[in-house]
Amino acid sequence: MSFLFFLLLKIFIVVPETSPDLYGYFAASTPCSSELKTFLKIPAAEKCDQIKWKIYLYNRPGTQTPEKFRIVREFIYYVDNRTDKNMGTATIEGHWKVEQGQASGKAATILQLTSTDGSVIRFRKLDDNLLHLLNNQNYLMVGDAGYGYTFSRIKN
Amino acid sequence: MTVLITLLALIINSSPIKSIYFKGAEYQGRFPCHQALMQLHNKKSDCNRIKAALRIFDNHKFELDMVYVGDDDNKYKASGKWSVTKGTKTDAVADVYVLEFENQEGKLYWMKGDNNVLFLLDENKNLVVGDATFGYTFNRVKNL
Repeated sequence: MSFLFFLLLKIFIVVPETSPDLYGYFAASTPCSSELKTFLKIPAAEKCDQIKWKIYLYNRPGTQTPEKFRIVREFIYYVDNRTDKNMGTATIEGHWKVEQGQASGKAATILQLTSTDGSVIRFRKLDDNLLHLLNNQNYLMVGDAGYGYTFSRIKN
Repeated sequence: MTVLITLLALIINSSPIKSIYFKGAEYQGRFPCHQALMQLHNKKSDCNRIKAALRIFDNHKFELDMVYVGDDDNKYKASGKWSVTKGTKTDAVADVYVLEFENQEGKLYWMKGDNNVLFLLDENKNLVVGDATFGYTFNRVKNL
């Protein structure tokens, strides 16, 4: 019975990490910069110390052309030294593209993600496996002693 | 007035006076337990993560403190001289800090993203990929 259940799950649920059109799945835990809150749908007044991101970038089906993205984020509040509180999970969707631009004043490959409400974030593509978030002035965002803004490709 | 300020900034940036105001920078980060960072202090067992602080001084010396969290949690200190070379596997013009240790074998390579962010390279100058929580990124936390 349980075998049948898992078989049905495999047939009917498309796991985002295994979609044939997935260009890449990137993840990171970052500090909670206020300039990210709009894009990530985090209310400005909410207590937020850390963000856990999962970014899924998809190509147009059957092509190598960037098309849609999906971000699943949680934001965390440090209640005290030992207690983290998950303040909420949300999904942000939209389109992404690759372009040549500037990062920290130098030529770079940029990934631009535009959400369905028109908000934009940009990453410098460091190589095929690493992305680094840019601030509104197109400089590399600077983390703290705990967390940075580099996203790693997570392989299955 | 603007011309005067610009001129003054140029003089400060290109002269030894600069060292009065800026003697170096401290970077900090937390990393997954990478082999190159474990070997530095002959660590053979695994750890949960590494807390690290890198101080780079204008006189081409550096200090690197590391705590192997989940191992013995002691602070290990290392120091040596740094230099800058060019190029990684994917970026021929990137600046790379080469850290050569005084009392340990091996070198560490860090790609300079800009003045504030450094990325760990392996011995073949490939960027090292982190996990879902931590990358191998040093963030500038203060000037020295």
